[in-house]
Amino acid sequence: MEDIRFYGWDTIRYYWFVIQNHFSGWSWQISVAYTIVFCCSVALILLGLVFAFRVQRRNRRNKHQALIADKYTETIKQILLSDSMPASSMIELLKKCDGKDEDEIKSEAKSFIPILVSIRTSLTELAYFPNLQILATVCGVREYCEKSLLEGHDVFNTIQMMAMLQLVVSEGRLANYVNHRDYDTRLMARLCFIVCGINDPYKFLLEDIEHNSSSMYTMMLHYTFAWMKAQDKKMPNFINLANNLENEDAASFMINEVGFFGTDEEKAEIPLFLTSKSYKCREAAIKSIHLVNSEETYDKLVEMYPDQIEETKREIIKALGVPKNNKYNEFFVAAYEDSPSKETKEAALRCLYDNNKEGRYQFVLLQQKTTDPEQSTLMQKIDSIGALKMIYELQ
Amino acid sequence: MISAFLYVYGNLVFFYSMSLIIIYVVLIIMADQQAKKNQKWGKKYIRSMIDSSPYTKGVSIVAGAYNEENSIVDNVNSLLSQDYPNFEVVIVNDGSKDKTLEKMIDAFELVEIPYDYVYKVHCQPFKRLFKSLNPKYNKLTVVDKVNGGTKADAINGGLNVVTNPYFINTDADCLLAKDAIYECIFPVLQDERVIAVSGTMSISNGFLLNSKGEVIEKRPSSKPFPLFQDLEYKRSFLIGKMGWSNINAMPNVSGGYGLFNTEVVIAAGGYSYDSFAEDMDMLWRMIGYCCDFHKEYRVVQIPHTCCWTEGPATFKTMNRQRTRWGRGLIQLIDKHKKMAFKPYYKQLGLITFPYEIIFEFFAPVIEALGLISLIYLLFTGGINWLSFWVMLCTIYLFSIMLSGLIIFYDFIQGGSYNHIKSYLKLLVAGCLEPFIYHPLITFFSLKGYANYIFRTRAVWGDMQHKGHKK
Repeated sequence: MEDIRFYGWDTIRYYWFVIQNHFSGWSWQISVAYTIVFCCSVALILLGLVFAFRVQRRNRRNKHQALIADKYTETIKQILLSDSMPASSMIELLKKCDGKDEDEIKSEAKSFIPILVSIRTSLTELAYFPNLQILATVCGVREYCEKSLLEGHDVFNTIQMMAMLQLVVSEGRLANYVNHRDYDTRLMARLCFIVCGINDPYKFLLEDIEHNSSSMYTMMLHYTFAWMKAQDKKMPNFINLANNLENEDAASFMINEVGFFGTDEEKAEIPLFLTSKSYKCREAAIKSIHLVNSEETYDKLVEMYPDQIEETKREIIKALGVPKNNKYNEFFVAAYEDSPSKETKEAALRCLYDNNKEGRYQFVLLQQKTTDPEQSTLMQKIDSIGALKMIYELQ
Repeated sequence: MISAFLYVYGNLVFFYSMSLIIIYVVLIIMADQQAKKNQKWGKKYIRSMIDSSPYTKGVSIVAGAYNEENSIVDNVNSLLSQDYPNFEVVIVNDGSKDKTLEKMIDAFELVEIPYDYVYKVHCQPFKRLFKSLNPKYNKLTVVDKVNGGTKADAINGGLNVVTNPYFINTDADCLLAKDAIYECIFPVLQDERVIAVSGTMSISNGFLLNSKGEVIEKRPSSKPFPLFQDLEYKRSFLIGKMGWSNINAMPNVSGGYGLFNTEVVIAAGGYSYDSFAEDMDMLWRMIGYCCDFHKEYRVVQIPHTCCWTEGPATFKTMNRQRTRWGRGLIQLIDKHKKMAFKPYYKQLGLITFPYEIIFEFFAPVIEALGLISLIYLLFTGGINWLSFWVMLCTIYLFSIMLSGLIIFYDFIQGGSYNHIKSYLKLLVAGCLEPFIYHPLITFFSLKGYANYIFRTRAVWGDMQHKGHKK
């Protein structure tokens, strides 16, 4: 019998007809079932292979990473925590870790990133590391980041890492990403732009915060502002931003930030927001006053107290509790007696209790005076929690 | 007549199974997309933002405890060992008859403090509130109340003392991952519309703990029920819920571990003390509340394993748990029937509810009818054996493929276990599950339906926790 040879498209058609012929006597349901069996079998084999490959790759990568971390972590930490250090000293210290020369150290840049990230994560109380920028250059991390941005490889992770370490790269490297179509990439690139931008670092800030005032974004901004402040870099004008924002949450965030990073002039303007139409802005202003602990504005808070909603009233009470001043004891007593809200009453009593000796005395007087069992329990609760706090402090 | 019925039924089952396979394939694709969205953000980055921010949201962990003297100290220690910077733990002793409360008082140096308890949501009467004298445990609050007979009542009891805008509903027998709160709060920080976040759960029966209640080795249980359950949980969380989460159609945030917006839960009336699926019921009422008041909402599933729970290890406890779940499902469908097929209730009315009725509620009924028809055909000789084997092979292979996929998925997400051989054990369980575990679950579900229909007296019963190996 002569062989028939098929080429190209005919080969596929031949096998299609073979399969069709094989199932011709069966219902279409059986054909569908056979197809599923075939697909599942192929999927299972593929899964097994990919799984084995990934297990091997992960083990290899983890082993290498652990080795590098073992050799370099302590030295890197020492460099990061020391006062300003020249690049040459850093290179000498790094060479001692594994005996590698400068180029070999740079070739391990990718493995240094997790080490820098974990040191940064473990020391979040520090706003910045003075030697980080030079160290990143010495280890090749900056070069690695710039290359990733240039080649468009693993961009989101790179930008995220840069934002976290506040790594300064050339502004031009971010140009492709500050207007990227992917929202998260764009947002992160613009955060890095604040750190790296030279001409106008806050170019995109108003637009971004107007459209995204999520807690995560405000946290990221706060983190970046803390670094800018610590580096003595130019801060945005928070008050101007707050006045120009339509988004209430964003405006209140900016007012809050004045309390943390605002200039003296900006801090002096906080009371202007106490009469804002937006209660969120009013609350933010009270919180800022609370942070700034500005004596001059406290009287204004007392003045505006009666016209506020309960949540704002509680914020005012908390703010007035900060200076621990006898002057406000009467106010706390009145707030306790007049408020219909149990939460406001509790806030007022708590401030009175914590205020000072005079406040505590007033609290005891109120406790003796009350005949309402509910109020009495509330006072006992504050008393007990106060006592517990003292025990904690003693221990 | 009978043959006509069998013909129609056979075709119906075929279409039903094919639809289910298609839904699973779609869910796998959607779950993958959702997981990629979540994985995009580096854990360390999120963590450093949260740790360094003054805007970090406070979270309360609320756990009910009823007769848990064997494991309560370990489990409270596990809850207290969370890394998150701003959290409190509220344990509700739901009128335990054993020494649960006494053990907590001794271990955590608790003292009773006067408390003006406000019933924001209904629960059985409050008795006492305890705080610790030891600053090490200053985040712990223990509420002692009269037994309400249900977990819902216990959680409501804790909800009334919660001071944070978000709370985690968990069980006192659950072991939480140290970074569980970071993982769960992240979707909320990204999008304020998120009203609930479901963390992935796993089974802890085979785990080894140290004396502080910390996990030192994660391995699967050597007993069959917990092993099968582990696989079932992974399938449900990593494929089912992850997929539904992508289109905001999550059917449930498990009562074992879920983060909720305190204000929305209270506004929706708290947990229903008479519900047998109180977690699902709560979520549906929260969504109902958001729809009624035109509030936007999102319910999110995250792929990270946040919580390990001790699964029922005996036939008796398994039977009780699954019968209750079956009863809970039918009760829930009955209670919320007004939501079904209503565009007003968005995805819940148009996708989740119909899916729950067709593919969750009817599945055990169809399977039971299938078994009866098979027995009938066996006796009458009406079985086409080739078709039978092909169909069986299709469903079986698809089920194994799903098990393989979730094991792979779990590994990619960071892995629930320390060793590769643990995954092989799971795969073996996946091969046996359709023949051993699944028929039992079907039977328990049908029993639950029957109990609801015939109004059999409902008992929650104790689940005796054996604790973990040390």
